[in-house]
Amino acid sequence: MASAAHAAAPEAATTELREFFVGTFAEEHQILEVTNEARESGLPIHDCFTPYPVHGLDAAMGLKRSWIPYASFAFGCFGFFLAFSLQTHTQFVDFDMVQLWKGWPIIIGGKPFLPWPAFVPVFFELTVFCTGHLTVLTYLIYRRILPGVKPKIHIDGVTDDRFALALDPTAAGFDEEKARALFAKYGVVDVLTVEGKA
Amino acid sequence: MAHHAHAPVDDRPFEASKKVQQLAIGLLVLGVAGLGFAFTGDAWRAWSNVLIGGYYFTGVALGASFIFAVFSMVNAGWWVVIKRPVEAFTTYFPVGMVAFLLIGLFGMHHLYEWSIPEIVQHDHLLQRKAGLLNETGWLIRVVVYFGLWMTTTFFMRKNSRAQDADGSAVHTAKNVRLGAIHLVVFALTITFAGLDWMSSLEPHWFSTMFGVYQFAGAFVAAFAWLTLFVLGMKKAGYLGWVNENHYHDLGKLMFAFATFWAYIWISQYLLIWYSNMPEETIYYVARQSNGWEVLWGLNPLVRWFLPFLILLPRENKRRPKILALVAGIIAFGHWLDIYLQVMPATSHFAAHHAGADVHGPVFGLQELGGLAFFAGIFLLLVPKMMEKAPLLAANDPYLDEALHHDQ
Repeated sequence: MASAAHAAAPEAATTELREFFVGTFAEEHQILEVTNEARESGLPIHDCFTPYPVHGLDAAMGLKRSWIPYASFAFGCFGFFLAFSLQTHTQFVDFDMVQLWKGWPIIIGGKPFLPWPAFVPVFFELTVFCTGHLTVLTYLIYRRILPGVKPKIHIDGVTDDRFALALDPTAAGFDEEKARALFAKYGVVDVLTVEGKA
Repeated sequence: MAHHAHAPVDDRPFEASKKVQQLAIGLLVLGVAGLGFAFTGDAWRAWSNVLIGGYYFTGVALGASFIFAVFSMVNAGWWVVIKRPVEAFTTYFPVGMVAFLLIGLFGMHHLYEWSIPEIVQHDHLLQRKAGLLNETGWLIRVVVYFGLWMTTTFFMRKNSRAQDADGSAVHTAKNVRLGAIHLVVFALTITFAGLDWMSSLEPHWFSTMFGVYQFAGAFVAAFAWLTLFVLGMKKAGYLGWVNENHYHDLGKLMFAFATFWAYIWISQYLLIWYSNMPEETIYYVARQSNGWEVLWGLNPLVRWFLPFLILLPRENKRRPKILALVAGIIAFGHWLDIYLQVMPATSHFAAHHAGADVHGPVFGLQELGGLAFFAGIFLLLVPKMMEKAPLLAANDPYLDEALHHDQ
């Protein structure tokens, strides 16, 4: 599933404004079809902008799978490890070497040391907590859509009822005539040149 | 891209595969041999395996009835392409009913200590529970549970088939209401059925998690069998409209509800372990000693850990071979789960009251036969029932959505 507004891999952030060749469309199936054909015919796709996530757009744009799920898995492992060390450390590790780390062996309710069933809820909670929060944070930072960050490009209507395909005129394979013809084939509403950051 | 072009709709009528029928008959022969052999030996063991096998596929049918009801009720779209196997699963109930009536009429005294008057005479607790735990009540409730399940699923299937004929969306709306009714009936009956059939094997023990534990197991087992059926039918050239997006949903649901099962499993265990009261811990003491502990540890491994780990990456939920592997693991895990609920209890009962020489897990032709017998019936029945309806619910209002399913 692609949230198309955040689909292209981010380049190093530059402050320079560039021009993009943009076609806007009124229907979901148009953006899917035009993007698919643009990719197949070798036109350099910069990004797509849609009011909501469009199913199948990531495939139409030829995007690869995101690496974020792997980061999520790592965050989950981290959360589990955090829960494990927190509980084992506070309940039965007795380090004398480092004063700050000094734990306290505790017997609660006559349970043995390392009572794993008691640890399970905390394993679960911290794993889910770390995975969820850190994944969202990673995503927001990676896509630079944190509060206060200005959008790199502004196209009228894409937060309302327009679906936009932005082509990169500076990239290899760009051909304005071909692009115009393709846009027209799929019922383009507006053809624009929009300034924005890469 | 599958979401532009209409998926190829091949309305070829379903025919039960000869291979599956041969497999089913093979399983039936093995089942008859295994159960026959079992009945020449220890009666408690034979009846235990009738209970395990009967309950296993009743659970699968129950889970399917829940899928049918809940997906109808929430107006789910994607499942319409696999609606017919789900419907066919729910036709199993009469077989389950026969199995439980046979247990009630002939096998009860080998399984349930509360059914033996001499034991109840000397047991104050069982006397107090006799209002619920008595043979007549148990048998009546078997009829009531199965009667309710058969009624609601019969009418839901009927609506679904009526829509094939007249194409009216009214039937979808009717199934929303029927689904809601079935869900209420289901929640109550699966809880009480679980108490009657499983929990009352150890009538001194109790757990407030028991009903939902039965549901958690049955629901995920139904998804496992549904996945196996869908993949098998797809391989045989049917269900051409089912693609990896539908697999993905089946995978997600198996993943989610395997985890739900683990959540319920640990919730039941944790509370009992924590409060550490002998009348509650006795259930786990029996399962953590005398060789049962290995199987007891294996249970969460196959029912949750392996499915969870294997289905974690997205791509694995879309690969038929991996899905089939996980569904197989869960299907085995469900058997192990029921085996672990029944066998420690019935073997303990047999050893103490019938003088049986049994001190730990037993596995042999008897266990194989009990499962194979009911699996054989299930594999004979479900494809036969699917032959009776077109495989595609062509007039379902959600069909278009299901055909264009994408994720």
